[in-house]
Amino acid sequence: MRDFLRFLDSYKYLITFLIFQLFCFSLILRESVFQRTIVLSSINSVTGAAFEQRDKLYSYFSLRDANDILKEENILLMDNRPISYQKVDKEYAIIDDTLYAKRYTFQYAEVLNSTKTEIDNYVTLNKGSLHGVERNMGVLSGMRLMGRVEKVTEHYSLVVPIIHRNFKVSARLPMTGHFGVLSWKGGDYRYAFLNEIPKEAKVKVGMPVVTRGAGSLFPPGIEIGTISEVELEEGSDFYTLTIALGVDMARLNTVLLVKDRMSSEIDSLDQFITQ
Amino acid sequence: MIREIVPIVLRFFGLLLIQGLLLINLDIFGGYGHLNLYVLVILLLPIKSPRILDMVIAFFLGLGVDMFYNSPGIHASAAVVLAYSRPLVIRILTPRDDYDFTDRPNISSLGLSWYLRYAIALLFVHSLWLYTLEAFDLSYFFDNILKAGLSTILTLVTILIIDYLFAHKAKV
Repeated sequence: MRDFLRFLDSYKYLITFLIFQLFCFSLILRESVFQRTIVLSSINSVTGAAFEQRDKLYSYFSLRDANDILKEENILLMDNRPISYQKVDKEYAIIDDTLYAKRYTFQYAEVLNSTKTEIDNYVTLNKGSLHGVERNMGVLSGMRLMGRVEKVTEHYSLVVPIIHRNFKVSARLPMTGHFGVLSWKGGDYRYAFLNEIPKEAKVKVGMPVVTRGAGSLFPPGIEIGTISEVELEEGSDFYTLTIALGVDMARLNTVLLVKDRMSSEIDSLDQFITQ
Repeated sequence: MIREIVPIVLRFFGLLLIQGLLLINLDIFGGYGHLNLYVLVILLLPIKSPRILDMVIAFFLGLGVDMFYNSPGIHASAAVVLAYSRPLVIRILTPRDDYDFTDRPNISSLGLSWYLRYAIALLFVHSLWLYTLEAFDLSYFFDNILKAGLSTILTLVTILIIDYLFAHKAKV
């Protein structure tokens, strides 16, 4: 017993160190497996409130940016309104509204904090479950793809943006019709990668990339960015495309949350498949 | 005793808030340079302070930073590594006539060359551990070395400026 105590005494620092590391590693691993820890994230009541106070101070300085983004969005909306269209032919252009059911609803949220230089970045928003935010809602900034909601508390929500290694989205090249998977590997926050586009596709630098609308996060046709680099490895059947992201992660102010009213239906179908 | 504790507590919360609300959004060297100023809390602990207490302080400091960064456990783990290895570095760097009880780990007390070696060694260990854990993937190894090197330089320069400012103030 005395030997054991002496052993403990001589290794007490190492043992304390290992206990702490064990605790930290269990947090790290559990986080990557279950993604459920709320207390240790920026949307808990303490850090959330701290970011909110900071936002009150900051928001005055970013008013011009916020205004610019809103202007861009307004132009896009005006472009799509019926008044900017002219009927081509009375006989053939028939739009019957009852054929359309509303599928997506939108909601604004303010960005409280966002990182862009980490290897896994996050964005904290000031809307939570009290405002109807749910997990897996899509997030747009300036009408361009930004991320998806990962965690929600009463007043805040945490978004996994495109520039997070866990973010994957099905993306489409509208000019060729091919689709692939968009992902990010760390590094420059202005660029992401698009894989699985077959080499038969005639891709060119500058082509637009949009969401495919598969799954239940985003409506189809939301702008993601443009192709900035085309790479085809020798012997490979698929391109690796570098995409210049449309969303500007350096000046996020107000974002648009997208709710898919069909999401539960699609999710239950997905569940059916995995079973 | 109170004189020892009050500055530590003030530094703890002050640097935690500065790190979590200001430095978190810094963008230097295109994402490769991070300014991890919060480690200054641990670097400035007294030379003879109890090692286990150091680790407890480091752990809670790291958890606090993790809350802002949404990285549960990663900064905490790196901070504990820093607190654990600090006495080892201090022992290796022992001056010829040992440390005085009043010695503080800063430039005015132990000289610039001692302080540089002390800070560079610890900052590099801390940031390399931090970025390796953050990436959690060995294919990022060289990226992490580069990141750790740049962050060490960046943090070191800032710490030297702060040390200079406060040492200057203390003399007046």
